[in-house]
Amino acid sequence: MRKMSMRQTLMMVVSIIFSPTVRLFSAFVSGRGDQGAWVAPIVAGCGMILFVLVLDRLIRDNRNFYQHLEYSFGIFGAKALAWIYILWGILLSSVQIRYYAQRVASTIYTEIDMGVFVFIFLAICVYVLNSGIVTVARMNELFLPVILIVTVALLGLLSAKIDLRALFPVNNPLSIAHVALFNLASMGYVTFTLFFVDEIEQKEKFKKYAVWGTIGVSLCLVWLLLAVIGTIGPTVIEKLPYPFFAVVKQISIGEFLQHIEAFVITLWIVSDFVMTCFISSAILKLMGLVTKKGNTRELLIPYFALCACLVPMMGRTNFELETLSEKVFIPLNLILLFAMPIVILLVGRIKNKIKKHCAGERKMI
Amino acid sequence: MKESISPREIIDVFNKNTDFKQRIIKNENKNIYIFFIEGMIDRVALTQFVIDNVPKELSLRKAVENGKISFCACAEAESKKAVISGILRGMAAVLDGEDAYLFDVRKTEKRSVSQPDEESSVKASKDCFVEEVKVNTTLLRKKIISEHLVLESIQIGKQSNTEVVLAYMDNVANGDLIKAVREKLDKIDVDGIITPGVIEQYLSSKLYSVFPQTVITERPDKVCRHLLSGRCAVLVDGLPIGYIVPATVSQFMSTPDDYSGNFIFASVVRVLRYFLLFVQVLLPGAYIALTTFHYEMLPSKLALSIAQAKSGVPFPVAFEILAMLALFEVLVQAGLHMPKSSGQAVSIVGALVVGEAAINADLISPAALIIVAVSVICSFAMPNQEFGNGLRLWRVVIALAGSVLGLFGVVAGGIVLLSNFARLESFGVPYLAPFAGVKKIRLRDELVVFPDKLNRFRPSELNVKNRRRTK
Repeated sequence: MRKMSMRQTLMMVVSIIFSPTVRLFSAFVSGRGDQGAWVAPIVAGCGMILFVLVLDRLIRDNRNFYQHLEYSFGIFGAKALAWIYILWGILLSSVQIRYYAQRVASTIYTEIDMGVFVFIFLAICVYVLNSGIVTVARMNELFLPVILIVTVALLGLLSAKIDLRALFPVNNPLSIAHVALFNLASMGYVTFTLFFVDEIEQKEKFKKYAVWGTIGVSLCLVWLLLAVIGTIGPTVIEKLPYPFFAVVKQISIGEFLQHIEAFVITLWIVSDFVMTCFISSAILKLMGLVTKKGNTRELLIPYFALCACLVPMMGRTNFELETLSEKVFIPLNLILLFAMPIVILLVGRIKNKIKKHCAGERKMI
Repeated sequence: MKESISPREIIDVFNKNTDFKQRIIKNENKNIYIFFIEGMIDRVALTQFVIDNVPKELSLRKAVENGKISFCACAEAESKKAVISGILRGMAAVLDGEDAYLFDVRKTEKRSVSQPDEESSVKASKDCFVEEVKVNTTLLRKKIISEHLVLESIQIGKQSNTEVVLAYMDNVANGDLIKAVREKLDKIDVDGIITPGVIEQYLSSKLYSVFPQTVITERPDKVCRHLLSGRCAVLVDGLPIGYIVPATVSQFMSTPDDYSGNFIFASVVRVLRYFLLFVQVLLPGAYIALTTFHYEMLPSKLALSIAQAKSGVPFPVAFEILAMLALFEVLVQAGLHMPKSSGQAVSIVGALVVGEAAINADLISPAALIIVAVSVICSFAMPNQEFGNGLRLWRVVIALAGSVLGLFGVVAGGIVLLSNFARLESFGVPYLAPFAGVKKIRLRDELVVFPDKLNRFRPSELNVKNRRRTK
């Protein structure tokens, strides 16, 4: 079996954080956190670093996610929970695909039905995933530097336009905490690393890479928010469907570099591609473990066909999609990606202690 | 066990061949037969060193053992098969009914070592491989004077029995790699190796890929450089090229000149080459996408000048570009198959005269011509022709995708192209190594050229026995 390194895995996580972040993060956080929203990624980053320690313990146990579930909740409990994850994963993939199609159809292809983009996108996903997630991991090693360089360059170009008055005062800690929770919901995709444990080399490097990744992502998010909020202000952002896109549209250097939002759209598509492949692979892997199917390639087409059927049901407008994300997927992400690993770790530790205690008593007898 | 070889049996095998010659020398006790194929041996050497020394009184064995026949390249043939094989390879077989000896008096017509045609270089060495494998192995031996350079000989081809040489440094190359290459060569099951494609197909892991999975070169210095890095090379008798495995994208982007001059300049040129790779593949597709679907993304002055140039042209941009790309391929093919002098004329007439006439007749816009010309010129900057051919094909695919789906099509095409690179592996080494798929991403000596003084380690993705190049 071809394996990927921990660095490759976490690079994919960083790429997939980019997609939801650029998509609705700036609009959401500005609506909830006002001008102080830019502080939220720092709070979320601190929380994330603590969570990385939890995941590190689970990864060091060298069990994959399903084995962890089995150990902590028994065979039936594990199966039930695994199917919940699978169901959620399918819905999550569908909503991500819908977001992607909506974005492409509403920004650059306003006259083309989004079904065309869904079909082509899923066909590419099936084609690429046919050779395994390792292929996506390798592709992402080239994508991520480009995503980062272009994003940093765009933010750099925007920095000159930042109005500091739009960023202060920071005086609403409750709303910042609320925004940080949303931030965590997208950072939580790192939990999917657990799904691939047996396909990953250099597991011992998880903590180091994840901590540095968290710091980097948090700083990027702070900069993004500073640029977006500082350029057009929190009240205007709230009313825009794609604030980052709108802000990038304003960039122009001389008369030759204009309308560079095309780069952003390109990056969106790439990031969405990595995200869909990563989440789908994780869910298919879990499916394979639950159904005891070694090869999940044959599930690729049914999986994506199901997603394609669900995509139109995710909402009719962008507003509905965002509401669905806020009311359903963000809480679900927090429960399934954050709370569950913590519960697994705690239950596992308690079970270990009970086992040790029982073994000690047996020795005494 | 040695089998007795009757001269009659050998004569029976070859008696229908007019170029098969025999000479019988009467000895005191028995006849001594000398067999050879005319045109493949050095007559003078055979007469002077073998025939003249065949003794009248001694047996053949004693004559060889006592040094009466003192020719250095002499070996005893143990079987009839060995005698036949030796004769076919141009040796002279000497038999007396009991013993058989093969004398290497080969003298075949061969091309002398000349300058490389395809991979020319300004400062690097000027020798290139020829069709004779022995000459080629000698070229390697002259450059790497080391007992660690191993040249293993294998015979491949059920009918042709072609000599294939596997070369590697036994103190550097990974044992698993050597074993894997040897196994792949052993598995080759063909009638003969007449064209270079046979070996390439068998050394490739994915047959249905347009990108080469072995580096083919005509330069011994390039082979030697890769042998010293821990790769293996395969040389085939009859082919003036060497195959280097495992192959990675970065190898297709380097030239011998990169290591012949100033490393800073060479680095700039190499980075430029990578940039040109993207331009070559994406430019036609991006131009079609921007001018057909996303006109608003172009700066207004540029959009105006393109529109002005396009006015009067009856065809859509996509048709213009695709037709020009097709025409370019026609020109390349015409140039390849014409005699050298006429080939140039075809290029001039095709590119300049027809191009200018087409613009004057408003059949294509100057902007489209410039875009295709830039893309084509960029493709000529690719150091490896095989790799460049793959990219040329993908350029058309991406242009088609761009003409149907605009920027989205270009991005989708780019993703599929990259996935093709990402899924390829050559002997377990990712095709995108060392940029992706390796434990540690390495840009030194790959994206940029590093001076040998600082380039202390061999590539990690090759898992070599000895990573350290210098102290």
